[in-house]
Amino acid sequence: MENTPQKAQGQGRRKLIEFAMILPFGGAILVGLPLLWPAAGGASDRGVSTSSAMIYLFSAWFVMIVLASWLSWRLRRYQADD
Amino acid sequence: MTKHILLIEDEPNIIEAITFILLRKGIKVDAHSNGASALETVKSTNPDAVILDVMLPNRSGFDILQDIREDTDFAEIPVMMLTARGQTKDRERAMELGATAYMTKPFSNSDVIEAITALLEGA
Amino acid sequence: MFSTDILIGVSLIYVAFLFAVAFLAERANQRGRAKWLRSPLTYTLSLSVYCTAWTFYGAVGFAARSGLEFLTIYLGPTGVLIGWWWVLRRLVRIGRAERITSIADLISSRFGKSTSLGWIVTVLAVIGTTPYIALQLQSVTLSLAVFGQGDGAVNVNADATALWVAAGLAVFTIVFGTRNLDVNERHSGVVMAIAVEAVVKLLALLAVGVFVVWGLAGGIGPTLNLIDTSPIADWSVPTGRWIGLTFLSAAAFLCLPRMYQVLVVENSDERHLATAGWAFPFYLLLMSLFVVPIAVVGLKMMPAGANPDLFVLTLPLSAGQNELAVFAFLGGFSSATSMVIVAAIALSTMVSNHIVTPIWLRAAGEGATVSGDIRSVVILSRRLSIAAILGLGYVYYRLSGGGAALAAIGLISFAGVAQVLPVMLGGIFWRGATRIGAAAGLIAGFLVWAYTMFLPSVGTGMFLSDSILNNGLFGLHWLKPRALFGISDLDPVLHAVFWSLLINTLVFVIGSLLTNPTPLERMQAFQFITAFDSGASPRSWRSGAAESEDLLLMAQRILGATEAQKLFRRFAQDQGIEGYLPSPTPAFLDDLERALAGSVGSATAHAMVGQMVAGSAVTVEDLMAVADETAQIMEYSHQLETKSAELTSTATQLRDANEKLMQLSVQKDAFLSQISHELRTPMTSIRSFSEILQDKGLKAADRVKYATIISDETQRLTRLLDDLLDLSVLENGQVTLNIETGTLGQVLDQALAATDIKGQVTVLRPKSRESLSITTDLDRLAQVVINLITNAAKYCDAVKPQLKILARETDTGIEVDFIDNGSGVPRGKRDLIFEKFARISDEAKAGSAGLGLAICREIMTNLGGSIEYLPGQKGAAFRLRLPHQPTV
Repeated sequence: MENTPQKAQGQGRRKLIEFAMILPFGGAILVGLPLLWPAAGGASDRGVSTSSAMIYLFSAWFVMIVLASWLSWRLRRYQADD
Repeated sequence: MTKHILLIEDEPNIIEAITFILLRKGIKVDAHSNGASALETVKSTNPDAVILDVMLPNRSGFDILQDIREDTDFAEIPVMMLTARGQTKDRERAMELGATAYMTKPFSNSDVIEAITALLEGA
Repeated sequence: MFSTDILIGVSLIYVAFLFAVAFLAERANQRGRAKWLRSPLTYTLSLSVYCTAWTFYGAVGFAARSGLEFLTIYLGPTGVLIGWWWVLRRLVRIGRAERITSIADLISSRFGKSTSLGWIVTVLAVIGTTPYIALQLQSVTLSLAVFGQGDGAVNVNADATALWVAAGLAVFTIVFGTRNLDVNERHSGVVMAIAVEAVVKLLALLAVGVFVVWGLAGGIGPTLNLIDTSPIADWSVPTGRWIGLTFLSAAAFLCLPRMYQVLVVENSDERHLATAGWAFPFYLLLMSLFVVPIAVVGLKMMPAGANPDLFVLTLPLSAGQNELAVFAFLGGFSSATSMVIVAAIALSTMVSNHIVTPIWLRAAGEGATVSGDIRSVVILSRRLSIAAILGLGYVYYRLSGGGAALAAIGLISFAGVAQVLPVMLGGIFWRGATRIGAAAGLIAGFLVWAYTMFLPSVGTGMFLSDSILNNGLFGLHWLKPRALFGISDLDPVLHAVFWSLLINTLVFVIGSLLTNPTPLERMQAFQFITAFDSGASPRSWRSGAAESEDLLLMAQRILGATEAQKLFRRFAQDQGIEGYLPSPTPAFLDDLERALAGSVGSATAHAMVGQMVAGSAVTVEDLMAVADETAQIMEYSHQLETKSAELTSTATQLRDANEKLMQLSVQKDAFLSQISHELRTPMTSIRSFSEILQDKGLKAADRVKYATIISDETQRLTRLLDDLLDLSVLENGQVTLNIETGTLGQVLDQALAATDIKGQVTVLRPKSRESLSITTDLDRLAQVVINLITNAAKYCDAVKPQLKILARETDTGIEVDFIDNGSGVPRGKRDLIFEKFARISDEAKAGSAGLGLAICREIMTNLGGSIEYLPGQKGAAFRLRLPHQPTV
């Protein structure tokens, strides 16, 4: 393959941008997932507890933040190279 | 009969000097210092001769000379150009336009008297 | 225990501290050394105006009632920020490129700079925000009252407190929000204060959280146990509300006037968005981290019936942690005040740009753009608007009784401003959206929202009778406010949001499909949608019939003299023209309009430029290029435009250079004749009078008089030779400068002392800026000043001649303007006055050879500065520029 450095960089940047565009949808799925959990008083006798739901939601949230910050850092490096 | 001449010149000190030396020879001098209305003054004072500076505010001496010559009443009036511009082409231009005499500044007083006397006698 | 007096004292000290922060930040910004003011961190923190007292106190109450559902209010904005690449990036780019001043301006500008759309959005925003401001006032009074109760003393007068808070906020906002009519409409002082408040409220909530978890509950494990045994132990969030509220908070985050203000208007660098994209979600995460623990501990430890909305305060208080409670109070106070301040700024900008200024312009008639003082009208209207908005918030607070009805206001307000969302997204993504569709959609959505949500919330009997609420409008059951079309088992909030946004969007889309956009709309659509494609952008003006000088006069009235002159100078330089008057090309008119829009909004700016260049607005034919959207044509026309711009610029430069050359050759001849003339004239007098003096019979008086003339003329000759020598030394750059440091005031004093102009001209010197320190050849500078003053004395033809000397500091150095009140230099002669032997007027004035300004120019060049004729003033005006340090 003849990938010149510029080309590779252009591709890398495009991938990053695509990633940035997809990220919120990934987040939406993560945050929407608890909706599928059984609610209390449903078919199963005991639903998911608030404490575990809270731990899950905050972890998912935190993962999104880490991904977004990594993305912002990479994108800024590309911008600085321009 | 006293002769009188019109001096068109914007430097007050030069007006004073020429007025002084000509008056002692019995020649009366009217002075005018703006280029724009020079022709009107010529008409209103009807002098025996005109001394004309070149670098005047609003209208140059050459243009005024042309105005005077184009006016039928004054086509023959003696006009002496008195100017600080000493280049030959300026003298030639003045003569082409119909100047009677041409003198450069600075001048000697006796030259002025001599030239003016000649002009007035020629008229 | 301590009294509420101490608490009020602490609040006042805190407020004074905020004033100081805002003041220092603003001053640092003015001096241009405030890079840290515009850091991504400040930007991120300023976004925290999203977290109001409603979220600071109310989130705990929300969690105590409905468990984790409160997270939706934070998850919506998180989604918007993590997905910044989609919408926010576009909004910020458009906002900066088009100099958008508010959300109303955005909508107005996109749909053909429509005044009526700006008006609609403004009214909507005011109605949606007023209750929210009332809510903030309530939260401050409620939290104060909590301390009052513990005190056992007389209850704080809640109404009086609310009034004082409203008045104090109005003062702060007026002082820092409307100090000047900034071209970029940024308020560094306010933003800094908001950032500080953001830190305070975060730390306060974290401190309370840490105390509750480790101090009261006994650590993380016990806290989790406590959660699982609390009334909210089970995960039971209704799907509809989870999705609906997340969506609603995301929409509100984009549409709230205060959020648009901090997200777009106060944004100083697009790249900050990438940082805020993760940092602000992190801030939100920290803000909500301890909400559930505080809620469950409160539910367990506080007596039944205690208001969970105030757990943040009552928990520390009941545990005897007064300092912590005060800190928490300051956090809540920060949340409330920062929201109110930014909202008031945003709303006042909207009210003044979209309601007051258009009305004033219409009332003042045609000439207003040229003669009226627009700046002061705009600033005054902003100040009055701020006072009015806070007054309205206070009145609403009083009317609603400050009761529980307010608690529901948060979501109602969100739903109200979210009505802008369809039009906003349609505007930046859909080219076919039209003004009429947008107006219809907004009005429809607004009416449905008011009918299903806002009016019922005010309570029955006020606007809606019981019978309407229960039986529907006109007794039609399918028009029941809370069960439109018979859908009755939906959550009321969801019901209202669903129907209002659905009907809003439908009407907007259908309206847009049925109508055709005007040329200006098409063009704005093109600009907005292709915000990221650099390339051909159509112009909204054809070459104007306007004189640049008239445009400059107008711009000065709106932007202020300094900014306007800077702007015009830059445009002129881009066109390859020296001085301050670029030719009125379409590109220039577009850029100018955009700059004006930054101060008065796009619709007003468009109308003003329109008045100046009557009949030059773009037509459908001019827009054929826009309609034809193939990439090739765009690319081609872009290239052509670049080339033709280059050519125009080169041609202008060439023509200028050629003219200069021709003039130089003519001037060389003229110069020689002039020198000859100027030397011979005094010599003539000297020679003639010395001959006269040789005569014997002269009177003594005459003798003295003529000797004096000779002496005067000799001096004149010497002066002329001095000037010529001076000029020649300066022109060859051989001059030795004697660099010293002094103040501008000293130089002006020295110059005025050296001139004898008493009675000829009155010199006006506002001294405020004259203490500026300058390092240059002070004597040479004084020589220039003397020249300018004597010129004014000689040539100013006013009945009462006056000379104004104005100084100011710029980025690169100092500027001093000398402006007289005469009739000025005619346009055609302005290029010549700095040439040798050029006299401004035709009348020869005694002793002037016309070398003064030529020498001035050479001196200023040697000092590393410049002197220019300043157009656009009434009289003759000269501007000196000097660098801070002489360039050696």
